Amino acid sequence: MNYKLKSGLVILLILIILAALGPVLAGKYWEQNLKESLNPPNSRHLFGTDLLGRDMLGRVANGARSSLLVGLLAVVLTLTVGLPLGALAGYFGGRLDTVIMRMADVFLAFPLVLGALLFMSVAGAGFANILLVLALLGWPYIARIFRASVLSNKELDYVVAARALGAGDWYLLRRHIIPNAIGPVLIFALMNVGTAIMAESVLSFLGVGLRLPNASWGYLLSEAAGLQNVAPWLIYFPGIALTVTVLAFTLLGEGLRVYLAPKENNV
Amino acid sequence: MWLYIVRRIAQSILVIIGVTLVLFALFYILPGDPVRVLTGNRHLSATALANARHNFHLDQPLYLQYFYYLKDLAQGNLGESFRYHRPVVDILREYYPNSMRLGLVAVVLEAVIGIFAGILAAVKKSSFADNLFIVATSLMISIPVFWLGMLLQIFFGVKLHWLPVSGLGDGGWRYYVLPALTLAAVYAAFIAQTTRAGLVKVLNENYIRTARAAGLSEFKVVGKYALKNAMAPVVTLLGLDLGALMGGAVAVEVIFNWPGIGNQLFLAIQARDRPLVMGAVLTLVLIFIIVNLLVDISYLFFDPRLRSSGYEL
Repeated sequence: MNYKLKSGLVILLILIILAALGPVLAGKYWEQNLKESLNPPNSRHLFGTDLLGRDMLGRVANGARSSLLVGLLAVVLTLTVGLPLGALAGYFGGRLDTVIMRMADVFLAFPLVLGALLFMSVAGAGFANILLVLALLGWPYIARIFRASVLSNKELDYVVAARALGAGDWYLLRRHIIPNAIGPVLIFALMNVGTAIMAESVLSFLGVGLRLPNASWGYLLSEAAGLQNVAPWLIYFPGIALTVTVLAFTLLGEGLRVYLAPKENNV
Repeated sequence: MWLYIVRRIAQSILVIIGVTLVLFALFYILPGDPVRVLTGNRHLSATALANARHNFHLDQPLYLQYFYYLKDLAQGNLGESFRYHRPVVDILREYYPNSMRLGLVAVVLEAVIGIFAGILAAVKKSSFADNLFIVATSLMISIPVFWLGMLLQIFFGVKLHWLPVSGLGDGGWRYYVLPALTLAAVYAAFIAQTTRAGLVKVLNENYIRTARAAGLSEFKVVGKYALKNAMAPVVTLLGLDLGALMGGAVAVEVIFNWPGIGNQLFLAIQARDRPLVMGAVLTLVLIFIIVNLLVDISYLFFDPRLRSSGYEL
């Protein structure tokens, strides 16, 4: 294992523990106490308090839940849509391929944040909507990579041999092509968890992402906007959490790529 | 080569048609009676509603409505903003230049910083500085852009009072520094990584060994021979970013209260100003598609080998 993979795994493990236990450890982070409004970090509130006197350590720890869940579920949903479409386009080719890939082109034409902003403004803020929108904009990337991967696999000797022995299309796809073609796309998907978390934070920051009670880090930052000169700690901590999380998934993806193909990627 | 260019243009036109279909569909998926929205939810008589419905072609079948929508687009008519009661095209014309100037400054910044840092890291490969570079760029691309903007506001605006943190003021260069740096930071890291990777690869090639054996200075080897061949992906990245910056800059424009198209889009979404939202998104996506097209075609000019090889997608 290389250091990128190791450090990515360690950070992710800490984050998962934080997401699972944070709300328990942090006490009643949702309790408001206006006497303690905007206290800077101190021994009782390590990350300070927000406008309503809520403990920021608890809120940031709790935000890990929303952010990680959105990132992971969005990518799972994206794969669920993108993998079958990519496999169909790559394996069967022809008109099916054209229809699927031209559809992909249309959604690829929307830059991620801009497209998500548009669709969320129509669909409305919310947990389910954000997953759907990220999947809608994300599936073409997965489909494209997987299609290319399937294409190059289906002409390989062992597949041709299996076909000659009488294997059918579905059997070939399921037993031979998909298991061999899925590696690169899974690495890409892993890195995309970070991208999805980042996109969610921008959307929540702009008010069309998650809503309470899903106070993700982006949501916390949207509350802190405008308080830069009064309470900068409200901005520091959610942002650090966000950066570390995205970094973890970047490292995991890069580390895994080198781990699986050390010769090609050791630049 | 020309066949490729024609095919690529045709494909882009198809995509643009697809995008208008998506936008048209969104317009009709939106909750509420379009006439009510278009007439600003005023109390109107049944006749007036019917008239409005007729004027906006809403009594026609959907495919004809789409046709009218396309016809308006072709004539450069994007409707009238609910909020400003002015043609959307005029509003776009007013705010686009500010976004473009900011985007250009950001791209120049990231090109200079990114390419320079990438060259240094590649030349000193595996040194301490190179390892520091790898860590720093990985960290940099993980920072949410809008958060970086807020940090810069805190340090250079609130704490040090060096630079303005909001708006365009008198249009002086000081107003550009923080938003442009914010936008440039992440892509500078990408460009630095791409430059380094490309250069490291090229520096291992035979013709570079030949140049070194011939006694050329390292400066000349890297600057004159290696860099040129490592630059194609960097140029791609720069082009794509110029397109993305126009739209991806929404959060940054909001934070810095920049009088640009991203900020207007954000305000329009909040005010449910549907024509302005549609117009802003459509133009942003168009820019993105056209820049993509130009970048793809530019490959042919960077790498003459592609011209004869029937360059395909």
